[in-house]
Amino acid sequence: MSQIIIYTNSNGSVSVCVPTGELPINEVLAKDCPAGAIIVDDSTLPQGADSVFFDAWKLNGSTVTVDFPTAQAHKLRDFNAAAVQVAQKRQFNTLAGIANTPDDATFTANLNSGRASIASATTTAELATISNPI
Amino acid sequence: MTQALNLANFANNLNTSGQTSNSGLQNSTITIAAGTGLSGGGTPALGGSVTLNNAGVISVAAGTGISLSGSAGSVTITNSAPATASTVAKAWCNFNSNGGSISIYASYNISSVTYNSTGYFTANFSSSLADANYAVMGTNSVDTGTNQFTVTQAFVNPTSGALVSPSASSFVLSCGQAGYGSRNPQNVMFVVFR
Repeated sequence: MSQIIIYTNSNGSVSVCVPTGELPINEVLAKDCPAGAIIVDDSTLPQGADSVFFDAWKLNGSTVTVDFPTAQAHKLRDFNAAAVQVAQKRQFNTLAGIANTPDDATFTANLNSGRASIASATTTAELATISNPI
Repeated sequence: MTQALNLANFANNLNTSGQTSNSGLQNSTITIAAGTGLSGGGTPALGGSVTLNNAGVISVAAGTGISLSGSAGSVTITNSAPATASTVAKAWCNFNSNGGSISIYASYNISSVTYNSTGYFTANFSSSLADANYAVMGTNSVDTGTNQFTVTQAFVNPTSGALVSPSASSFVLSCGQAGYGSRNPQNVMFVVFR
């Protein structure tokens, strides 16, 4: 276990400042972090699937939790970004006369299925198991 | 063979307890010389005293870029300032950013790394550089899969996205993959020259 420094950003998310050990943590707190930052043990941070959705972390007092609707929105954003990349690649294949696998109907169905899974998920563990389009 | 001791030779130097006075000794004084870094000393009579004073180093204090392990006894003096020549690295770090937290593997002149958001990190110098005109070179490993990323110095506020000027005390690193946005590699390595 190590001590770290956490604080709420201007956008409401959480920043985690990890000292390298070159300076005492109180000196790091004063030098590298804004007012209101606090020192906590890193074991208190979200673990497992919750740790994956860092951008959805919220700080309440000295406790960090995951805001699930935000995690859900970020998962959908990443899913759609990956879908755009794959769709572009498939379009290039079509223009080049290369057959896409799976076919367009299956690809579209997979996208819709993935989005539905994101929408119906109730835990970060469920979100974490949904793969982006490839 | 026995020889009679002539007590008359000692008579004037013995007290009633049979002890002789200093003057009755062949060498009744010693000389204490002040060595390097000392003053005082002299030739005290036996039973007297003499004081030696430290005329050299009397205290040790840390100066700019110098740290001390203590103030007395065995003191270790450490150069904690960054190297000054432009041909040597002013800072470097190797850390893991995957999985929502950071593990620092090794560093030089980096006091902390702040995980701001996915793919955005702030590296803080232990000792600020002369100015913000330094060069950052970064590289990284893959994420938990096989995705390759790029690492660049980002002149933006990692949370607001607003453009910011470089700073002599810290800088922002951006890790990402073209078309897929920001990502967290398992290892991020960077070095700073000025």
